[in-house]
Amino acid sequence: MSVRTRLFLNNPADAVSEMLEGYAAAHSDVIRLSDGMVVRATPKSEGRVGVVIGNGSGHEPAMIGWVGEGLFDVNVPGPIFSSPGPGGILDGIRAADRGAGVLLLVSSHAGDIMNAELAIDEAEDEGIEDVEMVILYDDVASAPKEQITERRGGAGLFFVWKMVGAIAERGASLEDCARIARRARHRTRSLSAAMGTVAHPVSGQPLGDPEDTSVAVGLGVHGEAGTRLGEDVEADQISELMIRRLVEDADLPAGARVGLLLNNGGSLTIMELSVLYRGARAELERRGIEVARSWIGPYATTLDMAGFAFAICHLDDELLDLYDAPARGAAFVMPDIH
Amino acid sequence: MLDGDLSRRLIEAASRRVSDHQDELSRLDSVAGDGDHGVNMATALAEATKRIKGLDDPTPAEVFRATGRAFHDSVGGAAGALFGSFFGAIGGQLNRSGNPAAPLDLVAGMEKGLARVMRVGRAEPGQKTMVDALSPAVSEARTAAGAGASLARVLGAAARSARQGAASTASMEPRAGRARYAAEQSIGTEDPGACTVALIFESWVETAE
Repeated sequence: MSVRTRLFLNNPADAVSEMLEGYAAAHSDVIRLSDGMVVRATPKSEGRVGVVIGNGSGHEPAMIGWVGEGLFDVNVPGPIFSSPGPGGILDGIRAADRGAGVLLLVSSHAGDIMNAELAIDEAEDEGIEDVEMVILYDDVASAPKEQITERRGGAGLFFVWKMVGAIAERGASLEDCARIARRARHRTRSLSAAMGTVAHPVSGQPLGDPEDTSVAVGLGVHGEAGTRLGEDVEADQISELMIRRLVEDADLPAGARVGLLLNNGGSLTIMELSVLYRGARAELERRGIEVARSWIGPYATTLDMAGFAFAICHLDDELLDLYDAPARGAAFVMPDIH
Repeated sequence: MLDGDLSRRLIEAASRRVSDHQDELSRLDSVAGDGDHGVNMATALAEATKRIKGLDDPTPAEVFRATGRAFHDSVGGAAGALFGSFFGAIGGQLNRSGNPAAPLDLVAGMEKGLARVMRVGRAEPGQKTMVDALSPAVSEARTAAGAGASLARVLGAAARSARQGAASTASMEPRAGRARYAAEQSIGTEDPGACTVALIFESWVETAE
């Protein structure tokens, strides 16, 4: 397996800004660019909580495709795999403010947390009140359950964004939006797998060992290394192993209702994803767990990584209702049918 | 003594040195991180150099604050936050000192910067981070400055300790930051942030001499 080092780009240093221009132009009915930030084409009504996130680029459609009605108000994209700085996040907080407070969501990664905290300090210094930050994590491979707050953010945050976006759209208080973020976090787990690695588009350096073609489980979204499974492992075995780990970590009893996400980490085919999903579904059914909602597709990618992640969210009536609420972003739409 | 012009030349020297070593830094980063540390540090220092050029007869404080902001604005990530906080803290301290500043003023700024890096990064010495180069460098610089050494000697002490500190990170297991998820792979490799700290101080010694 070779690592693709040449991409269809102009000067790689301009890749992020040119991507944003192209993406926003293609989805001008939903989003627009404002000072390097992605904002809604039609802002949320006044008097509702603004929801904002800053994150590194290279994970698209996260999070540029998740700005819109029922989702985020503002996304502040940083450089490739790097959180934006505090100044950018502060601009995002200001842009998301509709007079009812701003919820700053952070996928737990060292740089994202540091820059978000620096931004909150600056917001305080400037007299901006009513900003709350919630740090989100879900990746079971990144720390044992006893140190759950040390875990990093992974694909399962899909559920958190969807549910928080929905309750903010309905006009809930800042406190209530933060409560939903923490509840959804508490009930969500994810785990990723991949084979091979990808090259950083600017430096050209592979993120992992380009010679190693075995399957690894538990990678981070920036190519952080995982546990190797060898080369001969079949899709069903991988799905079963991953679902088992997620269910056990979440202590899911038989009869539980879950949302199941299969995230395309970059370059997997629909064929592979469907086979993997089939295996996951079978394992959940064997355990008596009801898959109430499913979503397959590219949500948070690592460039063109040949990888994927499973995430499960333990639904209850409140979370299911928020998941089903209408939403419209460039990369995620929930039709108004429920 | 440290005036605005020397401060500007320190940042320019750091920019050249880090730029010359950016591929090596990125390679170190690819072992446990995402392989862009060298590019990011070179980008931030180039941006700092550009911004400082646009300042009219800046004070040392203005030079270091502009450098801190350049890190925060242009690269972000953990390294942008941490190096930005380090330079910003030096700027904040020098703003309370005379102009030109004495070696002890710069050392006081470096101490503030180290404290801020440790707070923002939740890092302690021994966790395989930039703190392992910065902490001994600041402490040796304090000893030298306290004994009345010249700025060049103070920075020389800092550079030697930073280099030793960076070398010591090779055998460490990462306990803070993103590298902790790839602990095993990273043993045997120096921490890229610690190496950047050493490069910056080394570039400063030559400039101050």
